[in-house]
Amino acid sequence: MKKIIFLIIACFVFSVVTVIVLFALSDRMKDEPNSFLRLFPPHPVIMGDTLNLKSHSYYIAGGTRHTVYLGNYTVPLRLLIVNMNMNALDMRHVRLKINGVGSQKFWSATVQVDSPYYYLTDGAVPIMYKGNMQDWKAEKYLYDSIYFQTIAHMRGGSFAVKSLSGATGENVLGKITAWAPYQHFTDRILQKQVDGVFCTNGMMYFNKVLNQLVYLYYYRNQFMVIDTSMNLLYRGNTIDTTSYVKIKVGTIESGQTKILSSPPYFVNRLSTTSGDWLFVNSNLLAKNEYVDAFETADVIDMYNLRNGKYAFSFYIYHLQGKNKMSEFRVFDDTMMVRWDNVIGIYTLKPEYFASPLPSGVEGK
Amino acid sequence: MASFTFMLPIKTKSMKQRIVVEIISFLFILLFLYAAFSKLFDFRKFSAQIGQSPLLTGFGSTLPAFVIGCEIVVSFMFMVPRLRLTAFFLAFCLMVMFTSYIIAILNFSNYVPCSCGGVLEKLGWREHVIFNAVFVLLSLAGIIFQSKIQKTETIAFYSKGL
Repeated sequence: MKKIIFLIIACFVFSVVTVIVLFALSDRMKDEPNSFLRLFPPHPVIMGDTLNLKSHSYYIAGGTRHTVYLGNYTVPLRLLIVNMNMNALDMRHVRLKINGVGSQKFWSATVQVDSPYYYLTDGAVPIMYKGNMQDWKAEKYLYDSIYFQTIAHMRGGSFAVKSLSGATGENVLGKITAWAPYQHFTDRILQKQVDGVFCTNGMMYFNKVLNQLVYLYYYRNQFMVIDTSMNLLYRGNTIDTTSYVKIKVGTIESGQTKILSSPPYFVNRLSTTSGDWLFVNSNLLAKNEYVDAFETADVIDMYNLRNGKYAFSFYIYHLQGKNKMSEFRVFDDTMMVRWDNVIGIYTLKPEYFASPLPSGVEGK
Repeated sequence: MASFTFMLPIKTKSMKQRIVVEIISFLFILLFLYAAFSKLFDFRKFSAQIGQSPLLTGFGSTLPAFVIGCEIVVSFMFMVPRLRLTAFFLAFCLMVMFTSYIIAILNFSNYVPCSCGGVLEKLGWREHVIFNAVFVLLSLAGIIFQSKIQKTETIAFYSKGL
């Protein structure tokens, strides 16, 4: 009997120790580089209403907690304002009254609404207008000599842009302002891996809370946090393992046109920033992920911009199980998601997203 | 299953113990086979659940097969009378591991994940601890009764031999 009791105690100790060792090992594996593991706390976002916009040409131009401003690619001077309040889902159209726009042609005009102003910009013309949201009247704004492909309004009418450098023909980031020296470009932020154009392509957003600019590459696992004077603050990594772009670039025989000669191999499909957070819709399956879930949902990875570290992930399910999201933006504690012609609202639970972070979900 | 043991002359007390041991063994076989096959049935989901557990994130690829393997092996060991005592010890180990995992999830984890396998999915985490604790106690009872039975069997075997 003594022997049996001793064995029972030994088994008990052995089992508990095994579990503790497993936990410790797992914790260490999580922090290893290239581990590519996602953490899924239960239900950090709650889905709210959806609304059919009945047109595929809308995009999110801006918003607040319950109101979203939608620009229209085919009708650039129209804005649709949708109120996503719980019991008062309504929408109305406004016409942007832009002075002297009559003869102006647009190639890729987009609107950014940043209360109390809005900006209509087209980097291919190039041209910029600044208007107010009371009567929606706008005037030509800034010097219109800089071409750009990506633009983000920072503060007080100054913009961060991504342009092609005249000297090298490669992507550079810069700032354009209404005051001297009006423009400032830097080649220290984007790092060329293949051609300097496709390989450095990415998304750029301004974070109002941190007063910082975030640039996230499409084809590799890196993002850059930049101050408003275009100085690099730090480079962060997304959790996947693609540190070097997988795309190949060719040149069309007849001219100088560069084209992608491989599939685009997206690492980061979509992103946005709000509060302390960088939200990234990654295109890659993590090692601990359920393939079936990944095929029916878009995964959003959360990075804390205060330390550049991964915190957790969550899923946004495809619309009717098939449509991947087209874009998403976060305004305070609400997240607006667009799937082609449908827009939906999600509420972010404060226990996961509040700033500063509760100690429980602090990135490990 | 253990038919030949009943052919030996036995006292009523040990008879009761034998029945208890048979019932407990049967319960464990049922539990482990059910748990193993419900996991095996949706293996990828189970792997993802282990992989997404806040405490076992790194083990999504190795641990699931090992757990299922253990459950099947132990339930077969219960069917062999000679291995039954070992089976009880192993079952005790497994149940202690499962239970300490749940207690750790509830108390030391950043967040509590969603689910377990099969009908046990319907159990809340607290109910799950109680359910497991009952099986820990059953395995202890099994160890004690089975060791007593084996002792009397050895004595019976030697006295018969003499």
